[in-house]
Amino acid sequence: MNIFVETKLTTSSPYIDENVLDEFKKFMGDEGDSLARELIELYLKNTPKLMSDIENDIKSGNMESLKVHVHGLKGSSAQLGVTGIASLCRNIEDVILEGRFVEIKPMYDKLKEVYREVELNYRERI
Amino acid sequence: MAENKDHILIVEDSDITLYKVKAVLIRLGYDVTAFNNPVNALDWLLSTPNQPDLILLDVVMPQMDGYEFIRRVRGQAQTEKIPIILLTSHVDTRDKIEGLEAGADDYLGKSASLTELELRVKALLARKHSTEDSITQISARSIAVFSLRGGVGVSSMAVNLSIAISQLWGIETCLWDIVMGVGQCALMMNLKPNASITSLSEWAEKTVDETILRSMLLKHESGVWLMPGAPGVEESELITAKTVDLVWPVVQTLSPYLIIDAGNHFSDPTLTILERADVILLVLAPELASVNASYQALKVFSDLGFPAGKVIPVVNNIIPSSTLEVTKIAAGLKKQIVTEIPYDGRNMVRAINQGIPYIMTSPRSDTSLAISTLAYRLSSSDMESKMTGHSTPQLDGIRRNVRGK
Repeated sequence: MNIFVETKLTTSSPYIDENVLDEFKKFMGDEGDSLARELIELYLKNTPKLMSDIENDIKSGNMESLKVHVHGLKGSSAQLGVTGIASLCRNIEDVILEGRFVEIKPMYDKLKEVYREVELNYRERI
Repeated sequence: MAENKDHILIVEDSDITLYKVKAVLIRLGYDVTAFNNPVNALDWLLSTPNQPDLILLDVVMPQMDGYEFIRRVRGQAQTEKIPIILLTSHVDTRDKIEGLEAGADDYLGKSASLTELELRVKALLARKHSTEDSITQISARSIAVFSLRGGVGVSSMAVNLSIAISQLWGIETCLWDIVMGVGQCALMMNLKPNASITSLSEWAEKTVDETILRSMLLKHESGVWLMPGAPGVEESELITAKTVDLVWPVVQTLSPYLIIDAGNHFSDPTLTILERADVILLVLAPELASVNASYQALKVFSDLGFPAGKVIPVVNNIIPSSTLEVTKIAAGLKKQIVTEIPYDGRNMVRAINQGIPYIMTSPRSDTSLAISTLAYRLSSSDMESKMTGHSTPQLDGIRRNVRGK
């Protein structure tokens, strides 16, 4: 290993499938890196609002609104390859469909925890 | 990569998905219009003359779901045929059925690879364009023959096409000459008009009924009924868009097919006709000025919101040999040329001088065969089912030619 070459190492996260953004970067050519960074910035900007919408839906018991917000978070997470969040959202959607509402809160807590880790990971990159 | 200029509409409430898909489609060379709100997207879609070639549509959106969006799009004539790909994260059978019932053409999972996105978009656009370019399945009850340049054979095409449809199926057709003040069609068919549509201006506020129109028609031995144009230039000014509006609903009922000689310039009555016709045959000669005029005409049709599939360019070889190849004309017009009429200038002129339509004086020529084949393509989707078992040597020959291709 050449110790004189400065490399920026990105800690890998079990919640992120790097192939998804790598594919996007490759597809977009020269602009790939900067567009991928903008995508991450957009994700970090939008997700806190979605998380608080989800929290409010759980508190007020508004399952219809919860479905839409969880679905939105699932879709945007999938676009970046944040599989940890996308699959948790899918589980929450299933639980709503099956009417097992008591299971939603602990799943949301897990969602917050995973998002914190994803956020930290992403902040290192931009 | 960036030559493709098809126009794609994305409707997706997630800014992130919208951003990514939009970037990818722009990279692929498409024009992209994007909305994160389906209600705004629908408002835009139903009012824009710049109709998209394809829609990528999210399913779950707060203001209106994708299925409802599709139903609204399919419920409007100007948007009903736009292909739609649903962007969905849950692709189970129930969702697929609901989407297909609503009228979606394809599905794409949100976690699908970008290559899959590219291939599905390309496949659906190719299918759309091949449908537009293929006229074997067109249901064209009213056919306007038009050019933006004179002298390319519009009236000849209208007369001979009317006769070709009549003769193929043994039916009557109606030929409406709306060209101002020349009466070419009557001349070519050796018919003497005694009344014309210009007299309708006197009844402008009245209802035009079948009896009035029939009294103006001239019968030709081929089975074509001619509704002659204005007898002179001055009278032609009496034909307005309103006259066309009055006549149109009635003239359509006179025979199974209505062919209109729509001339070679954009006047109000002509535009009204072109808008109402099922199909516009855009006749052009293989020379640059004619190709340029056709390009301009296509641009106007597109600005007016005419569906691309409504306009069929027909290359009419009015000169013995041309250096402008059909492939180059097609590239210039960005439109496939399916029909080319071979040159037979000498016999064409002789037919006009004799007052006997060309297709009757030279029924076996390649030129007549090309016109009859065009007539078949325009009428077969309706007539084949109506006249099952109808068979003549000419019709059978054309059937074999068309199906063999």
